[in-house]
Amino acid sequence: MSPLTTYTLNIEELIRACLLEDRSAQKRLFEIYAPSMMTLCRRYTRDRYEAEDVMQDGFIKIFKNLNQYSNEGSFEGWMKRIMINIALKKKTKKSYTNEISGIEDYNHISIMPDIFSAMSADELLVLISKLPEGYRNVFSLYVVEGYSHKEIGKLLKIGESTSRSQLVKARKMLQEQILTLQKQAV
Amino acid sequence: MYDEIIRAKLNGIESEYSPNMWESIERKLDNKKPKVSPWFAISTLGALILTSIICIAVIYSSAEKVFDVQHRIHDNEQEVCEPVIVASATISTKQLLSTDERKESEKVNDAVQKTTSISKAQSLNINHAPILILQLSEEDEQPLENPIILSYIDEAEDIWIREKRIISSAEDFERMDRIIYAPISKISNVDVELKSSYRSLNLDDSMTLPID
Repeated sequence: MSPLTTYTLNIEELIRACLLEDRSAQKRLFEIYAPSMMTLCRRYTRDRYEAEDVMQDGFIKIFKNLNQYSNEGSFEGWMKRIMINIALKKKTKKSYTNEISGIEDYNHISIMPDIFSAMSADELLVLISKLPEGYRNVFSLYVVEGYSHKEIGKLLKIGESTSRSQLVKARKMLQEQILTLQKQAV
Repeated sequence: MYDEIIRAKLNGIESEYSPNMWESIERKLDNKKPKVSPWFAISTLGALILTSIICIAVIYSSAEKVFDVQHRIHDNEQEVCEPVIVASATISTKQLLSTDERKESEKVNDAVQKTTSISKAQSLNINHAPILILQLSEEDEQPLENPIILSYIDEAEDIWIREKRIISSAEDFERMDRIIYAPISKISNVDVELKSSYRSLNLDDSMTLPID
């Protein structure tokens, strides 16, 4: 099998080599996707260590189940779904049900987009990671991954209304955290 | 609106991860592969099975030997014990009185030695042989209807008195038609106590008739 250095960024070729359990190909695939997957894992975990655990389990699962990838759709999207599923499996439904409250309380909140624009991605990640587990997951799934509330409800085994509620509260909490940081900076 | 901002920010970035993460993943991936060849596994399994069979055989044969020895010991015990086992019987006073044979008398004496209150010869004011020992009731230490009289002349001579004559001169004892004989060795240590009624008999030498 070709050595690691000979692999180009041709993902299909890399996947075929990985299916043959070529260790250098697997390493190359890991190196290509690990940085973005790490970002994804951080969005669903509380800290870097937890994120690394999820990512490690995710890559092992990816390599073991690579034959299930049907070449339809984005390979990165397929990997992301595996990572998200592993991250969410570590959570419990209790995390969401305990955080339910009336959505009406937050209808009046005005979000200021400029606040988010002013922040770096890493700062934003840190703030998201500080959100309660339920808020964090719903926020990441909806805002970043682009899942619908219906999909989120199915994925997290919660109601759609709960997902909406969690999202509103997550946004509110994020805004409060950003304002606090701004006040501290001033 | 801000969702797009956040999405654009977070999807575009890459995060650092632990430099040794790939090694961890590689180790875990390697773990799924069998580290031993199938032939080695089969031969190891075969050796284990063979060892188990040998162990079972050894244990079985050892156990068989143990059981065999136990059976033999048991058989030997039976052989040894059978003649030794003697049926022990409690002989009642009435039974004692119902026989006048010498062997029976000896058995009775054993029983008497254990269970009866017997007067000392001295209590009867008998200063010399023969010594008469009267058996009393076990319950209330009263004279029996037919008291047993134990007697001996001389331990050294080991001569036994077996005639009624020994008591024939004493009218009170005439009705005692049975005399139980016993060797002095079997009655010498008996702790005895005689009722006053017997002491009042005031037996004297005249009672002790000459021996055959």
